Order: sequence, then C-alpha cells, then structure tokens
Amino acid sequence: MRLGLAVAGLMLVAACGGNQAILVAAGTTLVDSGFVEEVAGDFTAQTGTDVDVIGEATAQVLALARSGSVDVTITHAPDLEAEFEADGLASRSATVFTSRFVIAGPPGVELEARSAVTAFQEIASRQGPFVGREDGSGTSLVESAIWQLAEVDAPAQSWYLSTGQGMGLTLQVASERSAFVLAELGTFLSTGELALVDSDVDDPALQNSYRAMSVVGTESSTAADSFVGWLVSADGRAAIERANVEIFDRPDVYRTPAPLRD
Amino acid sequence: MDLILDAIADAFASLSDPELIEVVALTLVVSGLAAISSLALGVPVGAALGLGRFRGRGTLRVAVDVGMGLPPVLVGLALLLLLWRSGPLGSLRLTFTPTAMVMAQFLLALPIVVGLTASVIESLPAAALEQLEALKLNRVDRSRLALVEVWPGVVGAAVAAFGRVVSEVGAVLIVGGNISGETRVLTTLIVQESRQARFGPALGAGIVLLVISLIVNVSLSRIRGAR
Repeated sequence: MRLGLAVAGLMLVAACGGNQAILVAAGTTLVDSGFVEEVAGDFTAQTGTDVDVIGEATAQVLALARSGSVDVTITHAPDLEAEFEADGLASRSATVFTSRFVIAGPPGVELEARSAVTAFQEIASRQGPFVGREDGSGTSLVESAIWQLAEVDAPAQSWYLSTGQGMGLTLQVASERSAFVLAELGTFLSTGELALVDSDVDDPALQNSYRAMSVVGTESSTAADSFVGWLVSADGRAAIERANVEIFDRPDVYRTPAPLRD
Repeated sequence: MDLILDAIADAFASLSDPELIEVVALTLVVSGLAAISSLALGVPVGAALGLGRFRGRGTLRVAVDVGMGLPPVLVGLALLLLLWRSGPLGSLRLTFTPTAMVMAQFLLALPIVVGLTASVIESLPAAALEQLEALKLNRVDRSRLALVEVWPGVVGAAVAAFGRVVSEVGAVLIVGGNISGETRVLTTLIVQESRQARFGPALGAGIVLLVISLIVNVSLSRIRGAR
C-alpha cells in the first residue's frame, strides 16, 4: 500500500514537474561518436529538460520529423533542409556547427589532386577501390554530388563498393579493403583501428554544415525551440566546444559559426 | 493503414528487381555452405557425443548446449577480431567477404547440429543401444548404424541449422558489411531498407526469406515422411 502511494506520488511529481523531454534525431555521424549526447547533457544540466538522442541517416531524420515523431533534427543536407523549412515545418532553425569531410585512403597511397573533384577523378582513374554509403545520409549526398561534378558514374563501376550502412561500418570496410572513402571528420576520428589516412584535400566543397531545426507542432515544441536557441547561445557554444575536447581531445572538430547578432 | 497496404503493394513490385535475385542467390549459397559444412563436421561429432563414453564428454555436452544459444552478434564480433587485418588471422584478408560470412554461420550452426544429433541418438530405446553394443563393432560403424536408425532426426537438425543461419543478421552484418553485389544477403538488406524507411523493398525481401524457410522445411519434412 505504502509502495503504491509512493509510486503514485512519484508519477504525480513527474507529470506536474514540467520536465518535458525532447527527442532529437541527428545524423549518424554526430551520434556514433557520442557528440550530440555530450552537448545535450549540458542542456539538461542547465535547464532540467531531458534530451533523448537517436541517430539516423539525414533523409530518414527528416522523414521522421515530417511524421512528427521527433522534436528536433540536426542534419547536414542543405537542399533537404531548405525544402523542409520552405514547407513551413521548422519552427526555429539555425546552423549550429560545421566540420569537414575527409577523403581518406590507404596509407602509402598519396593523392596528387588538391580539390575534391580532381581527387575523385584521380581515384576513378586508379580504379579505386572506393567505398560509398548510398544510404540517404548527408555524407552520401555530398559524395554523389562530387561524383557528378567529376563526371564519373561511380556506383556503376566494379571498383565501387556500396554498404548502404552508417559511417562507422563504411569506414571499417574501406580500411579492411584498402579503399578510399568520403568520411565525415568526427566519425573518422572516433572510429577505432582504421588503417586509413586523411588525404588532406582542403576544398570548400568538403565543408560540412549542420543545421538544427525544431519541428512545428510537436508536444514538446516549446522545449524544442529553446534547445535550438540554446545551441547558438553563448552557453550552447561553450557546451559544443567542451564536447569537442571531451570526445576528440581537440577543440576544433565541430566549429561553431561566428556569433549571430540579433 | 495506407502505409501497410502501400508497403505490401511495393513489396510485390520489388520481387522482380534483378538486384534482389542476386541477393537471394548469395543468401542461399552462404547459408547453404554453412549448413552443409556444419553437418559434415557436426553429425559425426554429435553421434560420438550421443553414443560415447569418453573423457571430456560432459564438458563437450555443456559447451554444445551453450553454443546452441550463442548470440550471433557475439560470434560476429569474435570472428571480426580474429580476421581483422591487424589481428591473428589478418593475413588471410577475409574481413567483409562471403567466406567470412560462411565461417560465422558455420560457427552458429555447428552446435545445433551436434546437439540435436546427440539428442536423437540418446533418445534411441535402451534395447536398441544394447543391441548396438552387442554387435561389438568399432566406433565408426556403430555411429553409422545408429545414425541410420535416427536419420529423420538428423534431417531435423539440418533444417534447424539452416533455419537459424539463414534468418540471422547480427553476425553476417558485422563480418560481411552488407556490400552491394558482394556480401549483401536478405537479412542485411532488410535492415538497410527498413532503416531508410523503404518498407516495400524491405517487406519484399522478408517475403522471399519466409518462402525460402517454407520450401526448405516442407521439402525436408517430406523426405522424412517418405521413409
């Protein structure tokens, strides 16, 4: 009886406490390394709002958001995000941090090319091998865009391996098969035991920019809006910098954009 | 409801996809080889275990019982560690190949074949076992005679082994990598398609998997019934 009362009391506290939990869906690149959870932990500590994080490919994240299943999205596909916002589905949105894509390959094989497109052409002329994701992720969209600019129909080639899976597994396959791969920097750094090196191709085309959007009309939309606002606030930026050091031992994997003036 | 009806309609449309046929072929080859090789080793070992009085029999029995319930992801992880290029068997270069998938499924199927074969032999009537003893045959011939007695049970072990490996996803995803045209099988295809919310093709692959299980089960039980 006492136990029953205690349980009922706890449930009442939980229901009245106003501690809305929000569900954040982010690209697997951000979730596999634990980065988003690390950042969200600070938001919970500061506001008392619990944040649950799930990782899916960008296209899937936005599909979940369209069905109203998640409160906040963090993705990296500018075209799909613009479409989402144009459809009036985002209540609040902001570019929250940027990283870059890495063209990685087997150690000892150096690419001469210094731009993304010429690097892909060089990979094609040496017949790869190249491992792609083809899973609707932001990374795979960027990869196909570069292949298109390079005028190579890579997925049709015998040297092109497609995993249809997340960044971590794709990096493993590339490493074990001595293949090239387009990887997002954070996942590249956080995946262990890889025999792959960054080719250091530095090209604006390899910039990777993450946008957070709160979804219109979900149950926790107020908390979702404040989470997106917090990410670009001084507190949020500090949390992002701290999470970088915590997870990657360096401050500059995910960089916050220049402060916005309201 | 529309979601489900659409998925079912798309599922049937996806059945004529040539890529799916390639995936089905690889699925049958990988799981078929795993089942056959586990039978080749598992039936003699199972017979010895069922008949024998030898040292270490109790330990082997426990190991087999544990092995019958091994989590596929754990088998996948262990094999990946062994085969990883900087690991003990790395020089074989087998990570993310169909061979690695057959190895994983063989390890999953083997304890089932051994355990079930031993069980059917142990369940022979005491009189039959005594008769076998009385014939004073060597071990191999005795096992052979016992297996002839219980062969429908061995067929059952084959069905169970194939059924387990053809439907598991954990091990083949970890050691295979779901590479298109190389290591993609029905179960890993279903994972891939459902993660991308392409429910039609996911369900289509699921239907094929179900049909394969049905065909195998029905044909093997007919073999058993024909006795």
